[in-house]
Amino acid sequence: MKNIRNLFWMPGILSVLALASVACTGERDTPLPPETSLRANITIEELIERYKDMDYAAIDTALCIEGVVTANDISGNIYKKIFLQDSTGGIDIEIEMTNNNQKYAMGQRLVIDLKGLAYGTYHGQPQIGAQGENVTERIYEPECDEHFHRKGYATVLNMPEPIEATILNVNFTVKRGLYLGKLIRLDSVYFVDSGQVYVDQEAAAGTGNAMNRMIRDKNGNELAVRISSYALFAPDTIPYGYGSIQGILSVYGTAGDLQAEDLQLFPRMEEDIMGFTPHPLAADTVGNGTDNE
Amino acid sequence: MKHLVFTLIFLCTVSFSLAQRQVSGTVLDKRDSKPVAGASVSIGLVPLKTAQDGTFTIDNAPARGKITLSVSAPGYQSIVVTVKDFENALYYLDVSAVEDDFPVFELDGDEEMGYGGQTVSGLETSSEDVFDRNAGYNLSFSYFRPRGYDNQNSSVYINGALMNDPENGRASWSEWGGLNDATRNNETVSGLKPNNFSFGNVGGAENIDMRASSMPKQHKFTYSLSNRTYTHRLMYTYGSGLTAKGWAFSLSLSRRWGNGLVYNENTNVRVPRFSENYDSKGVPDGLMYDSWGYYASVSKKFGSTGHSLSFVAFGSPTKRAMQGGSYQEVYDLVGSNYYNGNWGYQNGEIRSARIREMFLPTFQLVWDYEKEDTKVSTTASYQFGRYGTTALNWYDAPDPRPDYYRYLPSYYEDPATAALVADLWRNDPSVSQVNWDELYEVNYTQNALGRQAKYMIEDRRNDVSDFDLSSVLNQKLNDNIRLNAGARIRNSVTYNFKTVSDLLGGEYWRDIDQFAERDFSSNAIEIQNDLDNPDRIVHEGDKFGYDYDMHKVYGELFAMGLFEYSHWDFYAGAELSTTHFWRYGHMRNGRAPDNSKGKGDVHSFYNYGLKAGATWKINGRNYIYANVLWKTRAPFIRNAYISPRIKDVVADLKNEKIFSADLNYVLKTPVVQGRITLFHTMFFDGMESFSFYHDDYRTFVNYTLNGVDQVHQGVELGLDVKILPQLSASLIGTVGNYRYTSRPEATISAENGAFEDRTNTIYYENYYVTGTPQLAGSLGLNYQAPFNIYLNANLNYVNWNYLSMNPERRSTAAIEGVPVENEALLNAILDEEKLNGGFTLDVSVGKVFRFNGWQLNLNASVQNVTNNRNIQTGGYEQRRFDYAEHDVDKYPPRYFYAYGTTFFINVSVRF
Repeated sequence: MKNIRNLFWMPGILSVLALASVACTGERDTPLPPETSLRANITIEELIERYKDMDYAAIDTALCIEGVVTANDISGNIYKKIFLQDSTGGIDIEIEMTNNNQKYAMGQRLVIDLKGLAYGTYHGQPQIGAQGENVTERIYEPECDEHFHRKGYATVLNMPEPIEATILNVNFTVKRGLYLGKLIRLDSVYFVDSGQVYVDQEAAAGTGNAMNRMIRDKNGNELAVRISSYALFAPDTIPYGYGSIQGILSVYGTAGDLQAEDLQLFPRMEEDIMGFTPHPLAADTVGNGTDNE
Repeated sequence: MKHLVFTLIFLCTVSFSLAQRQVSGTVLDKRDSKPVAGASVSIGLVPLKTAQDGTFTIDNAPARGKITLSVSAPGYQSIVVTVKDFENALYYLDVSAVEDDFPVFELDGDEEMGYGGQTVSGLETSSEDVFDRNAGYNLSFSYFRPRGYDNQNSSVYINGALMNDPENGRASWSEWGGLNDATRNNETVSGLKPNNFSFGNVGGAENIDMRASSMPKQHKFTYSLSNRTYTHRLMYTYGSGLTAKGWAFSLSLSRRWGNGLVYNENTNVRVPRFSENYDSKGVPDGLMYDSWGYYASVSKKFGSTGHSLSFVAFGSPTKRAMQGGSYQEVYDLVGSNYYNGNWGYQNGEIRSARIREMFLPTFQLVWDYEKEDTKVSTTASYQFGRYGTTALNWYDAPDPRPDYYRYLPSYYEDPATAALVADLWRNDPSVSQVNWDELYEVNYTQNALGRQAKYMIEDRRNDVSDFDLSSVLNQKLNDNIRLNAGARIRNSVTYNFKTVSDLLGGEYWRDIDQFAERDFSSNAIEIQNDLDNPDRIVHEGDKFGYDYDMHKVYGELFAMGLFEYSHWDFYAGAELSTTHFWRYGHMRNGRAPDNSKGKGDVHSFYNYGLKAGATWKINGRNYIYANVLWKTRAPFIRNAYISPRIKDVVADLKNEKIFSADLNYVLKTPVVQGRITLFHTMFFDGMESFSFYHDDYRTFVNYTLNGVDQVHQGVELGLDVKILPQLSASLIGTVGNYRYTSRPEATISAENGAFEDRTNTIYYENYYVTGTPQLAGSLGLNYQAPFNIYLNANLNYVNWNYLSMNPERRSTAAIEGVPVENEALLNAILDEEKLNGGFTLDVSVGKVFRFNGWQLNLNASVQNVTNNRNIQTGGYEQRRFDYAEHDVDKYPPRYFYAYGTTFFINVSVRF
């Protein structure tokens, strides 16, 4: 009798304990978005102000900027660089990495630890790069990993609204660099070279594998839109009529003496060229050269 | 803790020693009344072996109640009886028709296939425990691992010498494959229970006794026919027994060969692969097998001095083709889950690209001393030899493996093309298998242009030279206290390199890294595998690619006190060990010119282990026992180095910590025997590593996970019930919960330098540990029919096995860009895939004849009678992932399936 009793109570207790242990499972893990404890201690505008007019400055103090990636090589029109923008300004970051749009997607918030990197002005364009011999160089990927700290995933929600500008005020403020390196949008403009392809590969071979295509507003103000031979849309036909273009405003001139004709607008992808029409006849009815309001 | 133990010991000594009972007797053969030596006798938990004259004496039997005693011996039917006479009783054993020669599934892992080293252990098959024995045999088809432990958590000794691989810690039974008779004598302890030959391991330990003096006196011939991995097996074993002058000789020879009856061996006839013949087999095609085994031993007892010496030599030269898993698309395409893409036709003959050829001869000298209460066994063991696996290699040419994803119908968007490809897959072996003829043609064209071969077979070698010196003392201090102690020194070197095995008609090979050549310029130093011999031209037999040695020096000391009383048994033990390893490179690799050649840093580790347990002998039929272990362990060399073929760089190395405890209840009556166990084990700071061929980077990528924590908890149940005197039923079952509990750090390293080594956090918390069913059971009926006929049927069930994960799919990068609200996609990326479980039914029958001292055994078994071909035994997610589109189906996983119906027929004669 005693044996029978033992037979039941001991396995019973063990079974209960066993079930309890087996039944306790936690929730499946989910990867956390990238995070960093680093915080910016200088704005992009302050940074540019600090090194104003210097062709090259190695940064050896603890400086951090924080911003959102507004442009990368998604269509190939921008090559081995990204643009970072905060609420005050935008800047060109030179990196030795192709297909950087995967790692630094548009809308990615980044904190960049500048100590050990360099500030430079390349033909008037402020940029961040690796320390070289009195010149900034492209930052290699391992160094990027060391200095660039991602905050969260890339999302369109992070993207700043493009600054609505006109060719006139862009040209007018060129010396103050108000729009430089930032994502801007120009409305009611048309292409001077409608009907041609964006890039004539032969002609472009002599001009740094890129071509400037002029846009003009109703008042005749002009601005260069720069398209790379390697841009996915380079072989496409330039559309007709009035439309809007957004992109990063950049400059290629002489530092300290920038002129309106030194300005270049870089659309990041074909989708940045909006509201035009592919057909010459329809052009008249699509845009009328007046503001949309 | 220490204080408490001693207090308890003191109390027990005082209060219970008066009530001591002793059980003694002799075990005899029922037919001829000759004593059975080496039979296993136990009351309670710890078995004891009978002496040469069949006698035994068990001290400290439970003080209360009737006592149940069990006796078992190889080749005999086990008996379980209630002790009537406590002194000098006679116990008779009848011969058994149960086959003890059936091989356990010998599943040799193919590490490169991501199915790393999962050699299923034979550890439990010979155990006396209902659960261990049945799980080890009946569940082995499913890659079941007791308590979910990796094989490296069990230690295997031969005559006291540690046989686990010095680099990866895993024991490989194939090193002595085919020597079933010579390895039958063993002491096997599962889990944390103490043993007499070592400190023990988390998953248990086994010591195989191969000394001639322990072998039964007999001649034995065995022939087997099977369609599993080989077709024929022939074995001969001889044992002289101990002669009057104190000599004993023993010998065993075996051969296993054939391809498991899968294809027509008439090599001139091209066999249609997906014919009836192919599909009816339920096992993979193209698996050649050719294995020999030898064993010889001499023992000499030096009169009454107590000293004896034994010499033991054994080895199993084996050559066999490896099985490769494939995608479900391929299985569905060819209509078989046993498609094997490793082979193809060459001049109408089947040839496999992946051949494992191993031969690790072992020599041992054992010195035993046994007198009165002292036993010392000292063993010097030396093992060396070759261990290589061949594989295709190609240079600047399309991937020659038939199931490369670009060759599958799913790769083609145009339905007409896809249908055409599918048709070719079904009907043209040159598409669905390796196209050897084409590889030769390509190489001939290269020859004509004076260029290097584009395809070749390389032999990846992990040769070994291993010296082990150990000594174990078993000292009986008094009737209640025994002491086990031991020391070991082990010095091993593994030689890792590859050679050109076959140039497939080509003339030469240039020893450079092809991807490095693509990425760097063709004259950069990065492309050189051996900078000191740049652009070296190699031919068949030459070493190339990489060449390095791993040196390991290991030392250990252990001591354990065992205290046995009428109501309680206790034990407590400690282990100290030290491990030193380093790499020695023979090539200066162009991608790591400064840290690839010569002797690297020595990495040293100092470890300890503590272990204790107690048994409460409630009475002679009910026992409760518990064990607890805490130990630290040095990292395994295989996991420690980041890219050992290229450079001498280790991960952030830490000792692994292991905690394990179990609580058990054992019931033992002549009618019902059973055990129920609750176990809980935690691993901290473990490491995992694997390497794989990355199609995008065209290189081997090494992947190391550091800081892997795991918990293994669950319950085991084993029950044996005698329903009628001749009919018994056994039931075993286990429910496990084996999970990861940390977020390890991954280091990813490309051998060709395609990218810098990078690290990544892997979010593994609460994912299930993969590679073993976590729910398993087996119900068996055993009928001892008249005329010495034995019938057995087992219904087995396995489930809760998970697909081996691509760790990168559980990283931040993998779900980047997936909107948080898209839960379906998130789950598709992150969730673990549960593999198909299911039931199988096995039956076996045996008959034994005995006359004039001759014994004839006839046995047959059929596994998976119902031909269930849907049980997935394993598989792994591809190590690539579509980061851009998050398409989880873009790189489908590979699966392995449990075999369909297989048979095994065995005839043995002994005299």
